[in-house]
Amino acid sequence: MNILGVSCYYHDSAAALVSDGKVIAAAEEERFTRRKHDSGFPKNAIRFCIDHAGLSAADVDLAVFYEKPLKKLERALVNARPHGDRAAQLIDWHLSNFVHRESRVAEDIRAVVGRDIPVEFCEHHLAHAASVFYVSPYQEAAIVTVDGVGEWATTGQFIGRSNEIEQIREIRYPNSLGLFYAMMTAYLGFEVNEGEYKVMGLASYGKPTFDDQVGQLLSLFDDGSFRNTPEYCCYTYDDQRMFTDKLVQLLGPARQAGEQITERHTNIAASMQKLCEAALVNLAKATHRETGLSNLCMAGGVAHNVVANSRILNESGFGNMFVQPASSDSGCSVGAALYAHFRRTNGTPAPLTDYDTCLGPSFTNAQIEEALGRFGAEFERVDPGQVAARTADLVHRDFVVGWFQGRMEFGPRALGCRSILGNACNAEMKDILNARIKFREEFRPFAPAVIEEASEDYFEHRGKSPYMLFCPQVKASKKSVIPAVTHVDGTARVQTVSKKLNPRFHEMITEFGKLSGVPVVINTSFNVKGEPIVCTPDDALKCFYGTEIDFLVMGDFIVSKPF
Amino acid sequence: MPDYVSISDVAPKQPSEAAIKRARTLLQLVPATPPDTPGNSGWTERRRREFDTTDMYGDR
Repeated sequence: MNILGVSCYYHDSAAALVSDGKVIAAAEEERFTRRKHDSGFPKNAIRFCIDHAGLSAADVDLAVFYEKPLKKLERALVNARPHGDRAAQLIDWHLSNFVHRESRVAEDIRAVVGRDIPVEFCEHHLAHAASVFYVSPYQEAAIVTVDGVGEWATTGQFIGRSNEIEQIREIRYPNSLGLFYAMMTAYLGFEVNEGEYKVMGLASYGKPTFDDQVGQLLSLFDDGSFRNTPEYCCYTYDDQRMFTDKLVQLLGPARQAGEQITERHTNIAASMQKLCEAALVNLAKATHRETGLSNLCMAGGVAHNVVANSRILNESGFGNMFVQPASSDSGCSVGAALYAHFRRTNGTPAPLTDYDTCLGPSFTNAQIEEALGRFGAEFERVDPGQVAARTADLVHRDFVVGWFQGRMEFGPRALGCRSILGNACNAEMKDILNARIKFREEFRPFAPAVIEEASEDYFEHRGKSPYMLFCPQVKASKKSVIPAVTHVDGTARVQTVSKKLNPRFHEMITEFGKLSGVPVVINTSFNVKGEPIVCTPDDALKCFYGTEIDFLVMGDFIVSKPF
Repeated sequence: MPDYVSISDVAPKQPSEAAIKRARTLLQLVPATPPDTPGNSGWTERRRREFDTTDMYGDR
């Protein structure tokens, strides 16, 4: 059975294809349209999934949308309605969105597939829960989903057993950790649904001196739940602003976009991040008490808060934890399709010890060479057995290298398929990458990729971290060894690289280890600020020539620039 | 790399009067206040194993 999962019309539109219970392909629409966080209908991603699987229209049995649009509209209207004229714009927006787009999504899917297939609708948090449990290493697990909002739910508590997902309870809009974080992201002058990572990085520079004030924004309860204080937030009825004047009275003037970041801003970010972590640890602890299980699965946009994830792993009582690498809404395309499969077939999912999230397009050497010819690139074709060693040598000599190999990652992190690599031992490399390559804020950290076998020599993290979803402390003795990837608070968002999942990347880091004595490299996404991660060889070449990346290693080709 | 097709937007640029009217009727039907759980908890109990995926609404 071939099932298409579709998520769109909010942010990070995506499509996924599940065949006989296995995720065959998945991609975000932004990678094709080159519009970051593209919320439009994912026609290119759908086409890719069907083409990649070698299917025709007749082979697609079912499509599943990642939420229930009418239920979402109800929530929007119910919450906006008491605010009368102030909510008029918001109501109009939601009505227009429903009439123009979501109410027609089944027709749009059928138009792209090319056949009148059945289309179903999966609740949003159920899609998040399925996206993580059915690809996890567990037969049985507690599942926690946390995001901004789906239909009514903003947080879900579930138990997964074999092929069944049972919901226990949920927290409903407007109480939302995701919207709390988004509101504070907006207050601190960053773009919502984009700047949350920046705020998390910024928090490490501050001291949590605003705990008393920020603590008024959110109430935590012993049963693991929370409530937002409504007087400070207006996202229920205002489409221009997420916070009220009362928040400004509490914390001082909001930072405007581009305004200089002061100590006050970093301290507010620190207190806000601390409260978010406390809420998530409280939620996970309560879930552990409630279920008595040893495995935890997490998904939803808030599960990308890697600092909180490490605290949950260490403090919640769960022995094991698995986070969906595409935890934001794009991953719901995978979850909606997987849920439909197991509901229909009553099949038993095989726990995955190594879920591979590299589910996007790949390109042959012939396709890459054709692109190189069109760009008039200066390149060398290398023996396949030499690609890793040659790249390691370039990184060891402090060159910045674009690394384009195999299938594109699904989810926001580059995991060694569409990456920019640098020497983690060179303290200046962070500033070089931020200023000359990525064109982004100087405070933002870079992540390390380490071979799995050496991870515990460098990081205070138990187990694997193949998707960069944890942020442990760098071991005290190693902080000066890998300064380019050690954040100001001594942490690092580590990726452990296995020979099984990504053999060429593993070999490259191993070769770098032979040269430097340190099997750790900088791994940052292959894009510049404001653009999606590259998808095709053309995208990679445009990024390569538009930045000061020194070399591009694409398939078996090493591309250079005239020096 | 396949040559990706581009389909025109299926939805009209402006909603019809009838569509707007249907949506505004829906607005009159929804309850005036959000569902809520009183007390020192943010949870809403929702024990269930069966989820209906067949339509755009489902239950609350």
